[in-house]
Amino acid sequence: MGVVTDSINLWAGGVRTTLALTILSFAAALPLGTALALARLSPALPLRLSGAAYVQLVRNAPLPVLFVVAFFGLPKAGVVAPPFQTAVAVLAVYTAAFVCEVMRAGVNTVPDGQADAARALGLDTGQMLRFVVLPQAARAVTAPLGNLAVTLVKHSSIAYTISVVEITGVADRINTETARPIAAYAAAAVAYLMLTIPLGLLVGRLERRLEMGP
Amino acid sequence: MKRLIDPSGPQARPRTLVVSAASAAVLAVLAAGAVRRLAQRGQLDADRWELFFSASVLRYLVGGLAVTLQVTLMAIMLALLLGIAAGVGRVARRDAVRWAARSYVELFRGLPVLLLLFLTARALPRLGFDAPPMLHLVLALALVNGALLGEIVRAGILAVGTDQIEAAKAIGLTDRQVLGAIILPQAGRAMAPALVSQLVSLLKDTSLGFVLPVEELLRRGQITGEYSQSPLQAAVVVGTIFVAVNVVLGLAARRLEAGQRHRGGQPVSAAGNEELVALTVRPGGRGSVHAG
Repeated sequence: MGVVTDSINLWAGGVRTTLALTILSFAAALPLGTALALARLSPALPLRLSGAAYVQLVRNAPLPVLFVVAFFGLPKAGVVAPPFQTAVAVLAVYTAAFVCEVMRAGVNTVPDGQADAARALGLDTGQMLRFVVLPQAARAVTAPLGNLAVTLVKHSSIAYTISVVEITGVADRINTETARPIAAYAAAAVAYLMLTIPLGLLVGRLERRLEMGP
Repeated sequence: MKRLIDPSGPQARPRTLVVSAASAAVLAVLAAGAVRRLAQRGQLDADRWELFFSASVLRYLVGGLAVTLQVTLMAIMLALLLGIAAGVGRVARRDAVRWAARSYVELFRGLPVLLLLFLTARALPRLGFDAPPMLHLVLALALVNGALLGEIVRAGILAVGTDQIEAAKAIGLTDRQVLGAIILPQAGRAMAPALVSQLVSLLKDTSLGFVLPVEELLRRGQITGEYSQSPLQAAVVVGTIFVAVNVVLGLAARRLEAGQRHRGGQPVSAAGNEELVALTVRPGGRGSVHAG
């Protein structure tokens, strides 16, 4: 276990970077994805179309390709962004598309009768969304969002391809220096599992508490 | 579209037009701004892009796409084997089998493909297992996706409904007969859209092979980009090809899902979550089932 103890600072930095990537991207993806969902539900055609185009494009593009496009493209479009910020932006943009779809699916689980009842009570669309639909949709949405967060932890590893040193990057560096790949990468695996397994259990518990029966 | 939001009334219609015009204007301005900046730096010059439409480059890239598809096919088949074993294993009678299946799934669900790729490509040779990089990619993809497919298979099996199982046992079928004749055919139909969705996800992950390197599409795109000093253009072209292929696969998935509903079954939904690991499955039978 020398591989772990000798470079404990490196590992700590890697875990911190992974967490930072995940938390920042998720925090950005939530409002962005919700806005996209609202755009896709909007009566205004440009909003609906651009929302749909965004989601289709981003969902079907491989994340490594998006990283490469951003890494080379942003400087050439005049946006100066160091690798970490670029990675957060790409992960946020990517995850937002999936957040949007989860939100749309969540809104669809609310029975039609709720909208009818809201209408009958005289609520306009905005009030209906705010007070009737979205609170109920929140139940259906929580578990899939939790799973997106777990997935995001795993996707943060791809940031290493644009030279952000997170957990996978640390393992790779240690392997290069000590030539002990099994130990190094196994340690990284343990680090990821320490993040993903508790998060997954939390999501499972949330899901059971918000039990969505037929 | 859903009836949640009624067609606009007389007050909302002009408001909608205003919002439409405003949002269209904002989007146009943003797009124009980006286009101008790129053009200023010569990124939109014809000669940078022409290269990618020449026959030799296209043939080179298509060769990469062929490798991508090859890897995808091999990985999905191996992942299906692992996934079916894991899914069936999780609902097995014997505790040891259930435990083994659960351990496999929980372990590989939580690991990134990139890390597993490094593990197989750099650690396995140390243990004497040497293979071309492409097989390392296939192995890594299969292990992770096998775990994810295992969850889908489990959801599909549980969705068939306990009443069917009870009925089958009542007329005297053995456990194996119940599995083969009753559960798996119905579960298979229910799972098909989710499986195609996972296939799309796997295909996208093959692009990680460029780190090994495996001569798949992204790698070939990068080489072309370096050679022509147009890395951005290369990435955009490669991205477009990927999107096109996945859109086609996605359309196939939607057709499968529609066909499934038409036959009266309940598909394991592919909406909203590329890894499908905790969607609420609404079974035909009793009880609420969670594929998590």
